[in-house]
Amino acid sequence: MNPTLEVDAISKSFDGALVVDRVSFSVMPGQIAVIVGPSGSGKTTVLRCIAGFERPDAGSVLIEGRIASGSSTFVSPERRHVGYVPQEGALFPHLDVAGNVGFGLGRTAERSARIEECLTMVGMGGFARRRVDELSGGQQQRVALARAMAPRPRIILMDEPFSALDAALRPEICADVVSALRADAATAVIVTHDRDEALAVADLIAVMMDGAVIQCDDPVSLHRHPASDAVAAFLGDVHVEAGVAEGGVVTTSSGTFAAGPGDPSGEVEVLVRSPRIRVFPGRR
Amino acid sequence: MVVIAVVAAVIAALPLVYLVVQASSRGIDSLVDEIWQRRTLDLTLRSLALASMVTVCSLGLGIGGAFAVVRTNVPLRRVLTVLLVLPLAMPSYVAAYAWISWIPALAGFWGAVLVITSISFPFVLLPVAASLRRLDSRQEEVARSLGLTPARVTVRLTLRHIRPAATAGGLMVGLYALSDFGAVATMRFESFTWVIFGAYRAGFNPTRAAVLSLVLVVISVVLVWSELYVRGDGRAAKVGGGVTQPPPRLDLGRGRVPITGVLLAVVAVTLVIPAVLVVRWFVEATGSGVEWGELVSATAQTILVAVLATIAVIVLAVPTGVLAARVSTRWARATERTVFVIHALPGIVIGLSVVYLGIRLVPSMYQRMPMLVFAYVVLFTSLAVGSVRSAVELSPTAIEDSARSLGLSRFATLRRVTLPLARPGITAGAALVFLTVMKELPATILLRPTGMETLATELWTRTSVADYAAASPYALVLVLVAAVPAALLTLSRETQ
Repeated sequence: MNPTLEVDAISKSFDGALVVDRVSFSVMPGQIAVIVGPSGSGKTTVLRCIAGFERPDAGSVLIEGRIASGSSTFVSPERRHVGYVPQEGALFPHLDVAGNVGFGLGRTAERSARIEECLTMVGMGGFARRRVDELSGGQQQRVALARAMAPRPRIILMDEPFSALDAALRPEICADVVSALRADAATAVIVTHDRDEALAVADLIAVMMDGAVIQCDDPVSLHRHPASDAVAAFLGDVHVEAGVAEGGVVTTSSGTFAAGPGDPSGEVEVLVRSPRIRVFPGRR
Repeated sequence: MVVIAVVAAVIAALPLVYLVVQASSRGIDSLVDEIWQRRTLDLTLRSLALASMVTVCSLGLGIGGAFAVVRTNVPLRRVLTVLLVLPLAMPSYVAAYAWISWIPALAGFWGAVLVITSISFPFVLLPVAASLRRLDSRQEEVARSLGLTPARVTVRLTLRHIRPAATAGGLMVGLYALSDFGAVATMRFESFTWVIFGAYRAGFNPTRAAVLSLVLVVISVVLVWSELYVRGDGRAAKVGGGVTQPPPRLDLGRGRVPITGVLLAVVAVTLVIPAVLVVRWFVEATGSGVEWGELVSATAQTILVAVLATIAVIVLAVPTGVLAARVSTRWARATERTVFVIHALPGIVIGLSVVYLGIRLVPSMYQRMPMLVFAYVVLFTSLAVGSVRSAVELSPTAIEDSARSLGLSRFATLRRVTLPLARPGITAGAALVFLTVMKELPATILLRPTGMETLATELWTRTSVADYAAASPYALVLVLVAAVPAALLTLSRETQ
């Protein structure tokens, strides 16, 4: 199977400052990929390069095997068939809910059925005739997703889709959005700075820092085998201890552990996930 | 307070009552006969043709100009914005005087279109530019990703977004074209205002002037009503909170130079050429001797009457504005609406109505200062009400509630909290009224005390006998009075 999206070593500078530095990753059909990283790490710029709102200075973007951005090619956003959900939705205020969802659909017979189908998928069935300024923030976000899904894009891009919502609402809306994407068998790239959100929804996580992807893997591998202490620290609270590695075994003051992949030797740092530490009554 | 506000509304509406009385003074049949004439129809069509042509041209210039300065990379955008808005401050009869003194063949329809368009298209440019600045660029991006080409995004989203602003601006232009007296009179184009003036001056048929005024009132009220209707429908520009991402500017590429050239040509026609012509005539006048005494006296008279009118307007406008901002009963709204609608009526109609009122009610006051000030109050109270209202609305009611709970009476709260907070708005409103009164022409011609000349009437008298050199000092002072404060105000607002 070929990947739906291939991002190959794209770089982008603004006013001489390198914002995206040779970023690569690929997303298979039906996968939900999450780009996660602290704010200012270049995540949104990567998303905008995929959507075609920015043109990378170097590298290429392939959608379903065809070049969308390359050294001599640039496909304009409207010809990429990519759904885009910006922060806070950016619904069209002069249209009602159905008008928003149907914006990218032609005047076909299928139109109203598809609008209703997408609204149902995001849990907004029956809201078609409502004005968008009567909706709550979470409802607006759901409508924005339905609008992006309606023309059956090749891939859906979501930029910090939940950051404007109440903390209490986030998990619920997040779960609903993911189930809607899965129900439509959609391929998606979601940008977030929230590691819990990333770990909860992703098939694939790309961790970005200072413009570069420093690791890209599935959540479990990423959690178990972080590529660096920075990745480990970003994904969860860790306890750091000094140790000495030799012959596949690391010795620390807390005891001995099996060494990770790569067979290290000499002085090393051991990272222990805080939730994994158990404390038992001692015998001494 | 409520009493003063109601008094303001009654003062605003009273002259119209006398207009109706005068128009129907020879009986209803005679009134119907006067309206039901071929020449009334011709006059209406001519006036509507002028208003439509001016509106179409202003929409083109206003929307195009707003797009250029907000959404493209034309050079000198800030300076261009100010220069494009500035013609708004130019009195129409000054611009008309300048043009006709240079190209006499302009007289008629196209001369009137040129002058009125060049001073009223900012009514479109200003709201459209503001609306374009508010458009969230992410909406345009979403539309692009949904498969729309940039051209279709402009049609389906951007134009749709600015439509309320453009419509409201266009209606204001149409209203202005119907009510302007100075330009059509100078260009000798027979639209309503000039024919009304002529019918009144000719003297043999005063009823006809009143009847035509009434027809013009009806047309204007329909326009005002539709303007209010359009504005009331204004939906929120944006759904959801957070910051709006400023839209990217279109790179004009090779079109940058020609488009800048077009914008500069607009500035030249609307601003530079009239100003240069006025200065040229003035230089010529200084050679043959300027009547400095008359100029000083006219300036002094203008300032005196403007001060008196401003005081009277502010006394009425402050209570009305506070009421409009803080009380939202049907009465308060009706009061504000009345004042607003009256303001939209042509100065010649208000002037004439005050003449009829004066002749019937207080004949001893006819062509005396109080009558003239009264006409200014009717014409310009709404200008000040608007600024008072928005100034009061800026301060949260919680501040007033705190003052009340600290033991201040309602009146003391108004005096010690509300009004001091609103003082910048009240001052701005007073300045606006002062400048507008100084420029007013038609009501001043009809109602000025015998022997009194203002800058506007001196200019008018000399222009109507084609003595352009002698008219130039008055035009120059008027431009300085009108345009310089406006330029400073716009510049300071732009730099903030």
